[in-house]
Amino acid sequence: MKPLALIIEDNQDQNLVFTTALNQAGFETESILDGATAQLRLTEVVPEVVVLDLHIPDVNGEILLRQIRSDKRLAKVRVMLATADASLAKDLQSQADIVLLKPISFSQLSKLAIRLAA
Amino acid sequence: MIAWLKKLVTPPVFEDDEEKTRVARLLNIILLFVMSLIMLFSVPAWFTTPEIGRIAVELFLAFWVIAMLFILHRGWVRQAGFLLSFTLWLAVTYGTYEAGGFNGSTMSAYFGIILIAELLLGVWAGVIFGGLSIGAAAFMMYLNNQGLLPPVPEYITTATFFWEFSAVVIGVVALLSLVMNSLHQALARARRNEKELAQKVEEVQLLAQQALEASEFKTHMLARVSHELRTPLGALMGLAEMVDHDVYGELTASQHEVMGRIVLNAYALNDVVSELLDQSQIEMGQLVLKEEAFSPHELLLSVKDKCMPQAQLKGLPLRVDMSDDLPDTLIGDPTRIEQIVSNLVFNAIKFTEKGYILIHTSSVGKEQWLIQVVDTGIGMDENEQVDIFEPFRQVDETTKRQFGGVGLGLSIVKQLVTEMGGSVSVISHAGVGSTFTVLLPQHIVQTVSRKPTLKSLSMIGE
Repeated sequence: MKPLALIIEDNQDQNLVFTTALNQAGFETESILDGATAQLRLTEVVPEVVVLDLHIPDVNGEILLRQIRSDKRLAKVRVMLATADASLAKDLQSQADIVLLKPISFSQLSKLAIRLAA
Repeated sequence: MIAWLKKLVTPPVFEDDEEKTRVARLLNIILLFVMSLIMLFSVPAWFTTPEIGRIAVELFLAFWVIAMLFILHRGWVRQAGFLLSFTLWLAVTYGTYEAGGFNGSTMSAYFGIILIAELLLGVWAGVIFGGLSIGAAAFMMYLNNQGLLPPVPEYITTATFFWEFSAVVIGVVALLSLVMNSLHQALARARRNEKELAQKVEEVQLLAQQALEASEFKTHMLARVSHELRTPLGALMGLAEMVDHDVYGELTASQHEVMGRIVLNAYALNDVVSELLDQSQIEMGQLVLKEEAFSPHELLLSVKDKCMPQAQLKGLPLRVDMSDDLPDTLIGDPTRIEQIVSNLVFNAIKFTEKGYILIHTSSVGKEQWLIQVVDTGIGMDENEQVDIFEPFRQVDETTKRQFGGVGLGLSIVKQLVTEMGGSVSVISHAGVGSTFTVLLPQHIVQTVSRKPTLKSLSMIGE
């Protein structure tokens, strides 16, 4: 069975780019466009990887990140944080496994996804 | 002739000098008053007791007054005032002599002259005419003692004495009232001006406030727009790269080339947006430098990761050369230092077609940390290097069209480096390449207290 990756990103096109890269690397992917849905889905599944945009509607990415980190059930989840704010990215670096600075190059994203799947 | 006379009796107006106009108006009134007196007292006597000598003197006086009016209208207000005072002084002195010196009442008129002179022309004139009056009195005393004064004329009686004295008092009071009134007007004018000035100051302050608000609005709008541009731009870059990576089926060579161009253009656009966003953040005063521990090695590798895709698009090797003497951990703002170096590297990539890009770093003594970005690009001659760290400067308009960008990258580097207390400089030769050198203060961590921040995978992006 393929490992599961949740792509939490409100921009559909950006979401597609993430999804494609992770799909190609062998992940089962699920696209989520808002924080509330993500929050709910995270109570139902334990994904291998979560790609998390910080600026999403309903519940923002920072709160979601904190919730994931404080939930023992989700202890093994690897979080890829995606943001355009370099300063914020540095602040949250300790809580995330990978920080992606937008705009994100597809080729690097693919390489990274392959390393994550291995 | 009548028009000329009419003009002569109308007080002159000096557009650019209100104080001069005030004094001129006063002098004009006094001169006309004197002229009227001459006419009033002399003309009837010409017919009753015609005396050639006296008529000549009085006619001369009348012409003298007209001459002073003329001088006044030429704009020589002070000169006219002085001449008037002096003429009056001469007349009073002559009258005193004629009246038998101290026996007449005319000497009291000196006070009037002193007052007029001082109020018209200032303190110095008061002092001069005071001195002249004392001098005249002393001369009279001398003449009296020597018995040289003419005898008291018969027409001088107690009654004439009274009338003369009264006339002088009335004249002085009238003149003083005139002068005081004029001064009051001057004061009112000054108050009015003060009020107008205060209003103007208020208006200017309001305008300054509006300008400031407009500038702030512009900066905020710039930040907002740049931010909003980033999201679709990021998606555009990702989607184009996906197509270019044959995600949707294999592309032909020419299709690859076009997709590559789309990606390159998207990156160029992204640089512009990033520069605008950075600049607006600096302008909004949001540039607060952090003080935290970071690894210079990891920082430069991160810059390399970030810049690699663009270097690869142009087929340029990007190397990082780190000196062994560089400390493992430094204190500073890693995000901003990364921005400095990557701006320099992006700049190098932009202006280099073949050869390589090298990031070199080492310690300079214990105090400074050196970062150099070397390229083998088009370079610049000395003239072109002058302004490159100023905002919106690029070598020339042709460069702008060829290489894109708004010309803020190096200006941002300069602003950040300066804020950190460091310096940035460039050595460049046209056709050979450029070397940008950044020197930053090196704050070394004494105790090993590195935060467990970096996981096995480094940051990537942009």
